[in-house]
Amino acid sequence: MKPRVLIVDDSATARLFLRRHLPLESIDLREATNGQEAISQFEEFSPDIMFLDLTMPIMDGFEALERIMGDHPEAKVIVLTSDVQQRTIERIRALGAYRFLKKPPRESEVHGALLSAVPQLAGAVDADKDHTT
Amino acid sequence: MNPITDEERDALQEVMNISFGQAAAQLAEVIDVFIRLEAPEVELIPALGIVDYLARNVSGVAKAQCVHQEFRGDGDGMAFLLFPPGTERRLLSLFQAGNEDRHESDILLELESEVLLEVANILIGACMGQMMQLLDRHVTYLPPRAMAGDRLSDLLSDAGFTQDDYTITVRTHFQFEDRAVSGRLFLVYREHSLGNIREALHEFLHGYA
Repeated sequence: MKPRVLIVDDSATARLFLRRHLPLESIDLREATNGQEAISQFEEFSPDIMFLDLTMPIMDGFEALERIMGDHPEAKVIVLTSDVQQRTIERIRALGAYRFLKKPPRESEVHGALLSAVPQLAGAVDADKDHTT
Repeated sequence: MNPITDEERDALQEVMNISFGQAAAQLAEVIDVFIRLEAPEVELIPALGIVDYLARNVSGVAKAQCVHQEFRGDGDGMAFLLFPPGTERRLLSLFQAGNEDRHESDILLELESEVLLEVANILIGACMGQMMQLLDRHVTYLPPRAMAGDRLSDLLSDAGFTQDDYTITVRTHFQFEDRAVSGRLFLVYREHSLGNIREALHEFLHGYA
């Protein structure tokens, strides 16, 4: 079974940028556009790793992160955001985020986070790197 | 006038989102404040409708404190930062933490105006700067000016917009958590800049990897 990855961002552009750095053929990918959808997709899809934006309509990433980590403390949630204030970083760490990445995402950082959370993707990530260079 | 596509609108919102996040972090370094950000929204509107547009988006716009700054270059336009009345006094208290000296009323008014301009300068400059850097474009700025919201109408009337002009507006809402300070930032690009902005967005979308 392929590792499951969930991208949560209200911006189609941001989702596109992130998809470009993912080994798409080796993962089962789903997307959500706000925190509320993130929670329902998380329950239904049980992703191995989730990329989560913070600034979103309907429900922001802070609340989604808090709820998901409350129900699933083992979840691996990588916060991908443009909000780089120190207090934001401290807050998401306190809420249990697995990692924090700054937007726009760099391929090496996305790959590093993926490999750390889902080591079985090592081969796919290397192949993806070869393909894009 | 060619309307912007959904893809271009989304790309501009994302660029703005990244830029404003950086601007907030820069301001947080100057004053000990955490800024809550709302997702920005992009709209294409008739230039002559800007005043109505601002009025729709800011309650009591005539009484708002406004900082206006024009920019020139690859993107010609103007930025408006609007705060509810009385904000400048609360902003001043942020800058004066630990230095609570009382001032004469005229000095106080001057300080309040200065602090409003300073906060606006950081937010607009950092936001536009980051945005232009992402888009690999360049603008220069005219000095920011503080004014009352009821003068916006005159300012926009004098801006030389015609009935055929359309502008891209980008608006976002921010709030200084625990400090009862919030405001709205609007960027308005003149129609002749739309081609440049569109081209830059396409390069950003297709060149980024």
